[in-house]
Amino acid sequence: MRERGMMYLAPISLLLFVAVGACGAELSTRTKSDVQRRLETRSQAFEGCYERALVEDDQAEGKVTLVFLVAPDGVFRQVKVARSTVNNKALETCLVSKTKGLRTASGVSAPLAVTYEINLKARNENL
Amino acid sequence: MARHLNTTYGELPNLGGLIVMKTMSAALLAGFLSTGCGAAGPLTQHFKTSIRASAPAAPAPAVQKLQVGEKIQFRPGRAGIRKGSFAVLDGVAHRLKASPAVHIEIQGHTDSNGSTAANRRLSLQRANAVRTYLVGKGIASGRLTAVGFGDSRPLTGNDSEEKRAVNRRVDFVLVGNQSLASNQ
Repeated sequence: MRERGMMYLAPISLLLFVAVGACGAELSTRTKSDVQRRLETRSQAFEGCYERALVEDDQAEGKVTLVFLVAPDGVFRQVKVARSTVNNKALETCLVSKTKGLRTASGVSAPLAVTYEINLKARNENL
Repeated sequence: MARHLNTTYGELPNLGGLIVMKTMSAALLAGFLSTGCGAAGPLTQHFKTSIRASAPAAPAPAVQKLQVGEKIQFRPGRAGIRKGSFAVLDGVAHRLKASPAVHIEIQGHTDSNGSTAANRRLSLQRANAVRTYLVGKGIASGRLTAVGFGDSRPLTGNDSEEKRAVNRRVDFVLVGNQSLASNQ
C-alpha cells in the first residue's frame, strides 16, 4: 500500500511542480518581454545621452545600473541609479529621465522590481 | 504560502512515505519560489543592454560663398557665357582684386536633364569658361579652381522648370578660412 502510494505521489508531485511553475513562468515571460520592448524603444535616447557625455569626455565609459519599479498600471516608477562607474552625473540623470515614465503595453499583475544594467562603450571611429 | 504547503503536507501521511512527502513538499516550494509565487515582495527582473556611441563630429565649417547677385547665364546646353552676365563677372573680378589673398573655387552645376556624364562635362566647361573670363580680367589663374559637379548637388528638386533653373548655376566658393574685403 505504501509503495503504491509512493508510485502515484511521485508523478503527482512532478505535475504540481510543473503546473505551478508554468503558471508563474508564463506571467513572468510576458511581463519580461513587455518591459524589454519598452526599454529597447529608448536605445536611441540612451545613445543620445551618451553622445552628449562623450562631447565632454571622449573616454567616458562604464556601467550604469538603474533600478525601478514597474507598477501594476505598467508605469516605470522610482527610477534611480543603483550603481555607476561612469562618474558623470549629467549622463546618469539623462538615463534616468529617459527611463522614467515609460509604460508597458499592458499592466502587470504585481509590482515588478527591475534592475537595468547599461554598459556604455565608446565607439572607435578608426575601426 | 509556506504555511499552505505545511497544511497540505499534514494531510498526506496515509498516502505515502515520509521521503515522498518531503520530495513533494520541496518540489512545490521550489515551484512556487522559482516563479516568485511564494515571494512576499515584488518580483525582480534583471535586464542588460550595451550602448555604443561616439562623440558627434564637429560641425563642418559653413561654406562661404561669394554673393554675386545675379546668376551667370549660359546658352542652353553650351558653355558660352551670355553677354548679359559679363557685368556680373566684372564685379567678381573687381572684388577679387580687392582681396588678393583670396582663392576661389568656381563650381558649375546643372539640372538633372541629360546624362550624368554629359551634365558633369557641361558643368565643368561652364566653370572653366568663367575661370577663363576672370583670368582675362587680370585675376591670377592660381587663385581660381574650376570644378564641375553636374547634377549631383541640386539646391532643390528637378520636377519643374523653375526648380531646374535654380539648380543650374555657378557658385563662387571661398577656399580655406578666408574672407573677402566685402562680401556683399
